Amino acid sequence: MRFFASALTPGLLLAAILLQGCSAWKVNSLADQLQVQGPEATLLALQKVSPPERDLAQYLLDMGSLKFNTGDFNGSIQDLQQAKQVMRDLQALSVTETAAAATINETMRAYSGTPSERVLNHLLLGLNYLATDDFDGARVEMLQADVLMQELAQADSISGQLASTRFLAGIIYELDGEWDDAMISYRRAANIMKGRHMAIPDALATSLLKTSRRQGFDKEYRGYVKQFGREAEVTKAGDGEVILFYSDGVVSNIEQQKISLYSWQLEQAISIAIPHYPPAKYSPRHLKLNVAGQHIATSPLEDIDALVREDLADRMPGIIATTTARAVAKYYAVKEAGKQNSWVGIVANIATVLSEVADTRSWNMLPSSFQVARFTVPAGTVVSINGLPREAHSDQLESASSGATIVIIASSLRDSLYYYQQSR
Amino acid sequence: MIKWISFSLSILLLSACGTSVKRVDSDETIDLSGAWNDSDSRMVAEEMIDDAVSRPWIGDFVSKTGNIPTVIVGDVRNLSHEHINVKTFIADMERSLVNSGKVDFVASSKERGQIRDERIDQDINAREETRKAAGQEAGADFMLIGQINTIIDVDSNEQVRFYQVDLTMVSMTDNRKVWLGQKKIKKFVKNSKLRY
Repeated sequence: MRFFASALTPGLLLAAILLQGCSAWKVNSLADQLQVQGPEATLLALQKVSPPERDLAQYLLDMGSLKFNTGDFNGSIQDLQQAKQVMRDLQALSVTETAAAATINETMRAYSGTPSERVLNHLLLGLNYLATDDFDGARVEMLQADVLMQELAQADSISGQLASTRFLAGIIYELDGEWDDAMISYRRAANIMKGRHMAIPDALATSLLKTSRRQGFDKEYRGYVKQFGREAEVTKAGDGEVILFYSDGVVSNIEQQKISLYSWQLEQAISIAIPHYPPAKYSPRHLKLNVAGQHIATSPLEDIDALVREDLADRMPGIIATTTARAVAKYYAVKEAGKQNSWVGIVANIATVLSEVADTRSWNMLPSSFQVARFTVPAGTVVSINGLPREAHSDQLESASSGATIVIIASSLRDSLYYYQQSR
Repeated sequence: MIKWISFSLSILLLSACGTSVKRVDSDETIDLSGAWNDSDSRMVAEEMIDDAVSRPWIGDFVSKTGNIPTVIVGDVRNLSHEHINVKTFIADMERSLVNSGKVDFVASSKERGQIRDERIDQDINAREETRKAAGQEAGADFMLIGQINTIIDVDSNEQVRFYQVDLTMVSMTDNRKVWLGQKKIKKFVKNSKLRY
């Protein structure tokens, strides 16, 4: 009887851990299938998952990005706003979660999002607000993203600094006639891309050229002319403009990896489970357009597949330190249990081995990359998008050819386009 | 075993401390996150409209025309860092304006559309003696427009949130600005570094 009582605690604990790990596994497998199943079917499947409270932020982020891809922008706004609130509340360190993580595993902590995910949430919300014609709402998200990126800024790292969000902010300020703020945002986007050794896309080059010349920053403008090898385009009355945001692919999922480390404390090698990304297989596909016979393709602005790896690499020293300390603590606990009763020792050993899982949670329904294009549409010009049926976008592009500025939101996961239009 | 049962019971007891609801007066100020809330909206609207109706532009208009001015509330733009429900702020201002009794107040362009539809409907369906004729609307003499701005300064878990609400009363006749109102609110928000 005493044996059963002693074995019950680790046994129950183990069952609880295994049951709770089930929803994380389901979400990860749905993310793996997203590209094939499509956002509608994945959304229906995800709605059937009941995540534990501590996975709520990840669940809401995934729901929000799926709804964004199915065109349910109001639903997406609701989920992403709730995720933002949950992640903000979780920034304080939890005493109980830290204790649970130190004794069981890292998934005992509530999911609070990586720095990049928190900023990307604002970007997706900004695009959602534009798609629902709420310009001021989109502007609010860009201001909040700016505050967050300032909070996350470090002298020796660009972690949590996103060129895509700075670029969208620049576009929004520009559309609002806030040219100084637009210039600052474009400059920051260019600096972030330089920091990540990425080529400046044509759309950002166009924005830097156009804004610096308009503001009369002659020296800076000349610098950009030299850097990009072209002058700012001169637009005529009646010309329209298209700014295209294209999200391509699905970001990689985190996997578990077992590694062996030598513990100086135990004077032996120990095996620990850590999260890792498999080698990136993503190769960008570009959206191609035809503007009056001229071919234009979207260019990468944010390599999210690289960004999530950068985030994990930043967290890795901390993860290895806590995982190693936990492995040592578990080793001593099993040893103590074994001294009292050999069967309890065996059960405790199985419980500690099975409970040692890596935290593979992430916002895994994001695109692999955000790409952009920006071009002038001379009055009356015919614009078409390769691979998309003409009826999917003719209305928007016709408005551009009659003098409007159109922000188009496109995704490789859907055929339809969404847009925000501003008349000139 | 006893220890384990006590631990489980304490967890159960803690989880039983769920939702609780307490009714409070709608005028009571409750600050939870430090963000713009119903109290800010109400207090700013009341104070600014009190200031607007106590300034000489009303007296000047009355002495010139012999009528009290008719006001319409135009756009109040949210340029802040928060998703502020501007509609409640506008409603608070409209209430303060009407209750002041010093100005007449006309419906907004959206509301007017609804009323005009109803008038068209009356033309077809209402008894003749109860129909309201078109072309009898009161035109506004002044339009109240404005914006809400913020400056946020953050350092670690501390934040200073500065709100500035600017309202302008513009003459519909000649675009003259007859009143400029400004209200500032500053909040210091400190978030805990630890949670349970």
